[in-house]
Amino acid sequence: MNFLNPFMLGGLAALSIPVVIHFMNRFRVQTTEWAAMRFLQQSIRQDARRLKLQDLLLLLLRLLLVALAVLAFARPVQKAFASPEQAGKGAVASMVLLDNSASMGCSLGAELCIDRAKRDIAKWADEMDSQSLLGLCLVSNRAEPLIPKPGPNTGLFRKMLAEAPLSDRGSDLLPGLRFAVESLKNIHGMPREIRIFTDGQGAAWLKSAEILKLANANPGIRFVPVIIADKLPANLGIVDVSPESGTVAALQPARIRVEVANHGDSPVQDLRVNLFSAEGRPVGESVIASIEPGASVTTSIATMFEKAGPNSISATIPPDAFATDNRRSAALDVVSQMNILICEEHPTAEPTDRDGFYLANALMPIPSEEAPRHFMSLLFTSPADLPGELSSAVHAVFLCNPGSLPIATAGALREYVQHGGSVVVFPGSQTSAEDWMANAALAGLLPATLGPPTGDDEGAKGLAWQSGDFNHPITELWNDLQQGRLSAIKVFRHFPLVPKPEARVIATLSDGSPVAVESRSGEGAIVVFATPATPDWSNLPLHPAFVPLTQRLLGYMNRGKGSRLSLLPGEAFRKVVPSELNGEEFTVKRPDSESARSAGQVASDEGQTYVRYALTEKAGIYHMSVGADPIASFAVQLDPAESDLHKADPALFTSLHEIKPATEEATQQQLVITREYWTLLIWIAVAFFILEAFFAHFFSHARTA
Amino acid sequence: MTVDLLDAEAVSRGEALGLAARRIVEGYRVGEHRSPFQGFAIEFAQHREYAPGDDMRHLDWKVLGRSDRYYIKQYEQDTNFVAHLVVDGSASMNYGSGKLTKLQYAKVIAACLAHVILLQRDAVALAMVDTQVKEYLPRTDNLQRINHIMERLAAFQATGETRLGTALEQVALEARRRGISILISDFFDDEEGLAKGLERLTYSGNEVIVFHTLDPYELTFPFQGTWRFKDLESAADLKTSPDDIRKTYLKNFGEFQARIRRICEKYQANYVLADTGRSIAETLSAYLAFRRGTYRK
Repeated sequence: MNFLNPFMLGGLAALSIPVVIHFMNRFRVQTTEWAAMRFLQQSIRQDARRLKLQDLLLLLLRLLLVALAVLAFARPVQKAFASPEQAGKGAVASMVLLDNSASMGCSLGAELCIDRAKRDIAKWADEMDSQSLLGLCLVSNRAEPLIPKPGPNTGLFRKMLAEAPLSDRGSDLLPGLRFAVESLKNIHGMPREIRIFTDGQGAAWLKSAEILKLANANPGIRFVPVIIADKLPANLGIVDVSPESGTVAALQPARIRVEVANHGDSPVQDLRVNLFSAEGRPVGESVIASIEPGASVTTSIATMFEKAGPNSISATIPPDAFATDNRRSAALDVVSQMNILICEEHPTAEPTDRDGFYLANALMPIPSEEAPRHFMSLLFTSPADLPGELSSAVHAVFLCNPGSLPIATAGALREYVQHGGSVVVFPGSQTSAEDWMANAALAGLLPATLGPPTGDDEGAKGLAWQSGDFNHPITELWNDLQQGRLSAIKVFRHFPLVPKPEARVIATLSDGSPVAVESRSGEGAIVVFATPATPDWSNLPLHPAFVPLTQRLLGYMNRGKGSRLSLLPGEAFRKVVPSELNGEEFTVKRPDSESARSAGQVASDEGQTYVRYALTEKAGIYHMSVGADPIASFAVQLDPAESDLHKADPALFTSLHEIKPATEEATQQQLVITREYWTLLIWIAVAFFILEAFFAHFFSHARTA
Repeated sequence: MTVDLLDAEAVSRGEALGLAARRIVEGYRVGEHRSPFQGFAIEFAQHREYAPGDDMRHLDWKVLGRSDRYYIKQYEQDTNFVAHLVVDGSASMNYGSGKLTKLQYAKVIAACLAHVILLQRDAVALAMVDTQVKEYLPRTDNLQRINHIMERLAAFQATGETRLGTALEQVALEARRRGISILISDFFDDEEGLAKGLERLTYSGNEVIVFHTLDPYELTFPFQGTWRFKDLESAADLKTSPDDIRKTYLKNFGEFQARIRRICEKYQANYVLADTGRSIAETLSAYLAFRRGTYRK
């Protein structure tokens, strides 16, 4: 026999209460003179024996009543070591984790995964011991506790379970498991468990090593994964929708890339992909001939946007069991013109003498008479004038053979990149690596450290670019030999680049040293080449690949800018807006709402005026406006990993089950409560109470009536 | 009927006792013209002047016709009517839960009755007893003696135990002629002694009226909690919880009252419960009204 609340046994001291009351009454005596003494003596003589028995009976009943009440509060239980059959029986403290990630919206035929999970939980809760403690936490890629600490209120548990919503978030069980462990830590006296009701999707268990570590570190808590479906249906999902060129200009042909992944077990043939405008108009379509199981295919659909400003586009594929990823939307900031700034030491020199000559032609490979009609606008400036030219309207800055940059210019560039700008550096003969590295603003901004130039620009012997195995999106095109060979680019002299840890190498020389390095800085990106954009140190500007390389470079960097319009569920959106809007109220039209609602005020901080919106749980397009003027659109997109409904390795679940209690405490935890006595004691106490009340009334009536 | 002007201090002074008794009696007599007590004789003895309250049936109409004067015809025995008032003076009579003790209540009853009897020109004798006749005032029909009776009555202090049988035997020796004996006591004595005393009194031709004087606490036993009871007649005391024994006590006490009633019935004595919780006027008027009604029949 054990007690769940043994400290309550101290209440047995209350047994003395009836005795004390009895004696207190005995000692509180009043005195009077009396004449009819003989009747008194006669009555006492007659009643003495009966009174004694009655008093004893009442005292006994009252003592028993107090003792039973105290024992009931101490919650006596009978415990036994749990047999395998008994595991899960008896009272337990259970933290229920309900996976509400987007994949739980997958249909299992008659119901969604999350509905089946709720049904299974309700059924399991019905079979639980009535003394069990239940907590509830929704888990996607974060923990969202509904009943943070396991408690006895099953009514609340059922209510919260019924109201638990499905989210569009990705899957990661680790935060939920950590929360559950913390919430169970202070519960003692009964077995503890974390019961995870999930579809078993592999993405949720990616951090399996940490999950197992957590389970091993807490052997007193059982981890019980409950996989609600043996097999999830095959799924085909759109995993990316984005403009190919990054920046989209109004009234210019634009290509939208749509990537579709086949997570099924058989190939998909002739898959139709449709493109819809923000107003729901079909604006393009494509057919993907075939997608192999486990592969994804990208198709490019041409379309055009009529107006500049915030816009959006949606791609759809035919419906399947998991509807959420059959439609994916992207937000676009359609520009009227794309502004490129080329910064060089002598911007007014003859075009052919300028350091940006080859670059300008590569960026705008059209006859000069057609340039005014082109959506791209090239502007030439010097390093000294650069700060005055930089603004959020400039889509990219190319530094061609820059010399020592003024401090103001370096600072302005850094600010520009931090706030989303793109900078490409082609150092040259005027560039002093020593000066640049000594400039803290530049040294912090560049993705690589520049060394003094090496090689001989006049020598015939040079180093070639790598021939294949490109790992960067800009150069991966040349992994296909049909696109030409970059190894034909010869470098005679170059700045040795030592990439920073966060940087990515775009291409290397044949000796393995990086020739172009890229990294993100703040919200922007910066690329540094090892050679200038002139044919002095290498033949890069003369190579046929220079034009596509430049275009891909621009597209990649602006795609990064465009990607800021795509968020994962729960991420906050922030956009810099004109300062005159400061303090204005802005509205947001959410994908799950028909109308726009007030969402806050345009704020100002550190010299920037911006809007911020964080309630992005629902996937789809969000439109922000100040008054009637749209100021931004952004897309909340499903985590592509959610489309992959393949299950986690079953061995992981087995490993969790196999974790045995390792400590003495944990061994004790394996004792299960086979029987609780407090309700029985309460009923007996009630019976004694009724009996006592009856006898007290009866005796009192018998003595005084 | 009247305002109860009595308190313990008034009863202890003869003058005040007399005054209170007169007020009670006068209050009772307002509008009444018949005496509750009447003589037993049937032979004419003499005339006496009419006094308010005299029965008009005894008015001598012939004398009235001849002399225009109001005379009452008196009979031989009428003049000899003697009322013996016997007041119990045992210590148990000292109990009182309210304003008056039983003894004080008994004194006022005795005073009132003495007043009534003397007013109708009959004789009153007063005996105060415990184990024996402790004080005896011989009979008198002189209204002027009323003050003396009141003073003696007021000065009387109760002590000791009761032995009413012995005391009544002594009273019976004094009351040899037919008359009325009025016993005022709680009768917490041996009941056999009471029976013997009554037997003696009735044997000698007395009509006996018993005022069974009891306190309301003795009748209802309303004590709550734990009490120590100290006997008034001895040094004994007793601690008990009255709640526990109330039923038995009330049963025993009720039986005691019933036995006293039966003894009274047996010896044709009139039993009157004098509950000291009721006003004296109420007790007396109830009894006197009853008595007048009995005679009218």
